[in-house]
Amino acid sequence: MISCLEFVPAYSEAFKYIHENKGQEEVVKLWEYLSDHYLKDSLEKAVREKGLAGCYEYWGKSLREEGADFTMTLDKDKEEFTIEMHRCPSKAMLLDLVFMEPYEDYCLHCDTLYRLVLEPLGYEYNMDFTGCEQGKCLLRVRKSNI
Amino acid sequence: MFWKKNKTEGSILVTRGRQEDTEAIHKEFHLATDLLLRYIHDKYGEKDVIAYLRSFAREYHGPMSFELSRGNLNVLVDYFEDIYGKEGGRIEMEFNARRLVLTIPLCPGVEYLDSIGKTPSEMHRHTYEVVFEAICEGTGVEYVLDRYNPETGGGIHIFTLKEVAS
Repeated sequence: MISCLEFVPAYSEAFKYIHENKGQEEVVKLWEYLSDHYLKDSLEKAVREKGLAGCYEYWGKSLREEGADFTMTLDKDKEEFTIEMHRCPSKAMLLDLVFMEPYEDYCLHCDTLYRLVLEPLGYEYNMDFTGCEQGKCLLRVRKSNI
Repeated sequence: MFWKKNKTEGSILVTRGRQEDTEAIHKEFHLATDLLLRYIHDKYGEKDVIAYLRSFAREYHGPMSFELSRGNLNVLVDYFEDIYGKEGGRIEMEFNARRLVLTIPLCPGVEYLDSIGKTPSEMHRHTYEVVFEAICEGTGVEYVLDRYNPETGGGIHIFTLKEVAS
């Protein structure tokens, strides 16, 4: 069994293995597959039913269970949802595993996974990875005007 | 208490979460791991599942392999107690300085998948057999998968410190 507690290094190694043996574009295809299969019954269902409040509900539960250090805001008037990640538990774990080399673009999987769910539902999705190497990022979801 | 609703002003809802407030482990990761194994198996084949899991085990469990190479079987006992304790899974271990027999009646990963109506990938077995083999490789510890039940993920795993030739 790969424990839930070992999931992050297991994923990082999978991305590395596929990148090195099958090519970078194959890693992106894996992320697309995971977005379609992993988030359909959770994030997608919640957002279809509750809009941005579904984001608040989905990430409230998952970030709690993952042990994240974050501030999450839902502004109903502005129709905007944000997560300010102060310490991403996944990235922090990878940075702590000094005997392992994490997959260089590990953080990008979040962007692909969530974008592919939210944009087709009519939301603008943006991620700022500026602080990524310190386990920090900013996610912003807005109701699209288009 | 996890939820720290620092403020709710009109239409704005704010939640501050902290690592130390975490109450549970994210069991949904078992589904993510299962999907990963399915994907690699369906797209590239079993050979790549095995190669990937070997690579993962050699990298992530490198420190454990190092301890085993020093003849320290206790590192496995501590590891299994820790992981299965946190997962809420029941295990039995019989061990002495040279041999460890680990019995897992029901794999917590398979138990979770079953609870959400999913059947584990047929590659699940390799998360035990391939991973344990890779951890023990070159360490002087021999690993044998004695029994495995694909429906429960349960099984019996035997680790033996090999005799050193004098």
